[in-house]
Amino acid sequence: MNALNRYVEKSFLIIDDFADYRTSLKNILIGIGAHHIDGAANADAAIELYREKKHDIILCDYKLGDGKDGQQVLEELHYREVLRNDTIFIMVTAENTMDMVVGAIEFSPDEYLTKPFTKQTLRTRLDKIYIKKEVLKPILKALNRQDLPSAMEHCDTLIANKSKYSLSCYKTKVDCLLKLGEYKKALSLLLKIAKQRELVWVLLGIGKCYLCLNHYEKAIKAFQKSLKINRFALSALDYQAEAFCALGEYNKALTSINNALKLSPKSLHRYKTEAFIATRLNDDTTLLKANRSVMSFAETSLSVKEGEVLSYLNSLVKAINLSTGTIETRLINEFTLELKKQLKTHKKSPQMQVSLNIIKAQYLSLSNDDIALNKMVSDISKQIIGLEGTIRSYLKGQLSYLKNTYSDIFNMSSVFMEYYISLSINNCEQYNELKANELHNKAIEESNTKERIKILKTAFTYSPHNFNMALDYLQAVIKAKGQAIDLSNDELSIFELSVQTAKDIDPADHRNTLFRNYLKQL
Amino acid sequence: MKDSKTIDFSTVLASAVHDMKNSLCMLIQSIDFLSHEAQKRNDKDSDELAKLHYEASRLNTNLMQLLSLYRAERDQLPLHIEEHYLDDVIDEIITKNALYIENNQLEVDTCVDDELVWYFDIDMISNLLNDIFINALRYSKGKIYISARLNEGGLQVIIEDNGEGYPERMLKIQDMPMQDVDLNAGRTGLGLFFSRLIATAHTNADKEGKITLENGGTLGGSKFTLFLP
Repeated sequence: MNALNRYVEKSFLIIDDFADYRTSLKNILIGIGAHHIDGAANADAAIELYREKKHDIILCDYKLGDGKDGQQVLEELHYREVLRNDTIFIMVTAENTMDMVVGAIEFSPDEYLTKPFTKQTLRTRLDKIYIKKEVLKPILKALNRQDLPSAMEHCDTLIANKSKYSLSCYKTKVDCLLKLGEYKKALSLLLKIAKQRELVWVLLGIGKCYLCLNHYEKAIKAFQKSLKINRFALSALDYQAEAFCALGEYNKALTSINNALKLSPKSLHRYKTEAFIATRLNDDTTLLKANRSVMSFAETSLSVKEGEVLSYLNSLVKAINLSTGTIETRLINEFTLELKKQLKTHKKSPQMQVSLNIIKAQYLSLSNDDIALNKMVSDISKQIIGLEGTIRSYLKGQLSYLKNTYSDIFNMSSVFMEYYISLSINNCEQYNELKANELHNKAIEESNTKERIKILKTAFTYSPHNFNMALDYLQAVIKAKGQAIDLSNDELSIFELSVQTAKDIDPADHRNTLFRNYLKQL
Repeated sequence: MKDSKTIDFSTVLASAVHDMKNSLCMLIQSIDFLSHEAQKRNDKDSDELAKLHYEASRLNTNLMQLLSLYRAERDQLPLHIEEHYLDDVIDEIITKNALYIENNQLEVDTCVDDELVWYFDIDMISNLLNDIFINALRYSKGKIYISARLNEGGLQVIIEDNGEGYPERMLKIQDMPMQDVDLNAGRTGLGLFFSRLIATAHTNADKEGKITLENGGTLGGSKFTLFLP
C-alpha cells in the first residue's frame, strides 16, 4: 500500500473528554488524509463505538475525567475480547508521568504520545508503528491464535537476524514464557538482557520470575532495585506486597500496597489485597476502609461479588461494636441502609438471604435484644434446612466467619454445626506462611501425583491466599485427573478453595492466562 | 487544623500547569493547522504563523521544564529508560520544527547511523534536544549540523550551528549552580539548567550523563554536546 495514502482507508477513534481537543485532533487526522473519524467523550461511549465499528486506530487520552481512564479503556476492551489484534492503540498523555505498569503485553498501548503533537509527528509515529507491525506480523498472528511456541520461534528468527525490533521480540518472548509458566527460562533470558542494561521492565520481569518460583526474598530484592530506578513502578509495589504476604510480613506488605494506592487508587485488585492484609493484621479500621473502597469501586465498573458485599457488612458490624457516639450512629445508618439494599438486590437468592441474615444476627447480638436474636437464629436455621443445590463459597465463608468470630451465636443452633460439618468446610485459619513455603517447595520436588496433592493440600491450609500454591494445586489436580486418581472430600474442598483464590489474580497478571488454561482442562 | 489561608503550592502548580498545557496544546495544534493552510495558498501570513508556532513551542518547552524541575526538586521525577533509535528521535525533532526551518531557509544536516540505539527517557531527552535545537535555529546563520555516535562508553549527541557561538557568560555558567545565574541577562540559563539536570539524571553503573557547551566545532558557531552513559 502506498504509504502516502495509507490513512485514507483507515478508521480512527478519538477518545477525549475535552470536545475542543477532539475537534482539533480530528483536524489533524484529516490533515494526514483520514476520512473515517469517530469521537467519544468517555470510556463507556468509546467501548460501545469500538464494539460497533472496530476501528483501525484508537487515540485515547489517558485522563478521561471522572470515569475510567485510558488504561482502563484498553483493559476493558481486552476483557470483553473485542479488541482486534491489529488495532493500534495509542495513549495520549499530557505529561511524562506514566505510572509504570508492567503486566501482560496486551495491556500495554502500542505507543505513548505526549501532547501537544503536530500533524507530522503523528504521521511519523503512525508510519513507524505500521512498519513495525508489518515486520512483527508473523508473531502477532501466532499470538492471535494463542500459539505461544510459534510466536516465540518467530521472535527468535527476528532476533537472529538482528532486527531493529529485537528488544520488542525479547519482551514478547518473556511474556510468552511467563504465560506458559516457564519461569526458569524467562528468568535466564531476562538475566541475559540485564547484563546489557538493567531496564526497569527487565528488573520487574526478574522479580516476577523469582516470585513465581517461590524465591520471595530474591523477588523482593529485584523489585526494590527497580523501585530505586523508578519509584513509580506500580507492578513492583503490587508484586512486592504479594511477596511480603507470602513471607507473612504483613506490615511491609501494607506499606507497599499503600504506596501503590497513592499512585493509582483505581484498582479493585489492590483494594482487595489491602483488605486481605488488614484481615491478617487484625486491623479493623483499614479493613473497613478497604472494603468500602472495594464496594464503591466495584459499583462504577463491574458488578460487586457476593463475597465482597458480605465482607463489607461484616467489617461494618465489627466497627459498630468498637465505636460509640456519633460515629456509632453513622455506622449503624450505613449498615442498615446497605443491608436493606442488599436484601432487596438478592431477594431471589436463598443462599444470599441466609448469609445476609447471619450478618443481621451478628448485628443483633450487639444490642441486648435477645428475643430478636433468637427469632433471627431460628429463621436462619429454617432457611438453611430449605437450601438446595450447590452451596456457594460465599455462604461457606460466612458460616466459617460466624463460627470463628461469633461462636456464641453459632452455638445457639445445632443446625449451624450440623450444616457446617455436612459442607466439609476446611478451616484454614491457622496461617503459617513459612511452614507453607517449606511444604510447597517439598511438593514441587515430589514426582508422585497423589503424594504431591497431599503435601500441597497441607501447604495450602497454612497459606490459603497464595496464588502460586493455588495454581500448583490446580495443576496437580489436572495430573491426577489424567492418571484417573480419585480425590478425597478434603482434597476436593481444597480444590474449590484454590479456584476461589486463583480467581483473585489480577487479569493483567500473566498467571491469569495459566489459570484460565487450567480451568479449560478441568 | 490546617490554616485555610495556606496555599498548597504543589496543587496550585499541578492544576495550573495542567490547564496551561491544555490551552497551549490547542494553540499549537491550531497554529500548525493554519500554517499549513497558509503555506498551501502561498500566503505571506505563513511567515507570521511560523513565528507564532515557534514561540508557542518555546512556551510549551518552558512549561515542561518548569514542571520537571519542580518534580526533580521533590525527588518525584521518574525516568522511563528504554531502548530508542537515535535516527527516529532526531528525525522527529527536525520534523517538529520543519515550518521554521523552511520559512527561514535553514540547512539542517545530520549524521546518525540508522542502527544506532541507546537507552534513555525519550520524552525528557527529546525535550532537551528540541530545546537546544530551537536555540540553534534562532542563533544560526543558515546552517545546523546534528550528529550522534557512541564514544567513551556512552552516547554522544552533538548539535552545532554556524552562528556567533555561545556568549562567554554562558560558557562560564554551564557548571554553576542555578541560583548564581543572572536571569536578567538575555539568554537565560533555565534551558541549560534543565538540560544539565536531565543529563545527570541518566546514570548507568557509576557514570552520569553530562552536557558541554563550546564554541567552534565543524561549523564555527556554538557546539552543544550531550553525553549519556
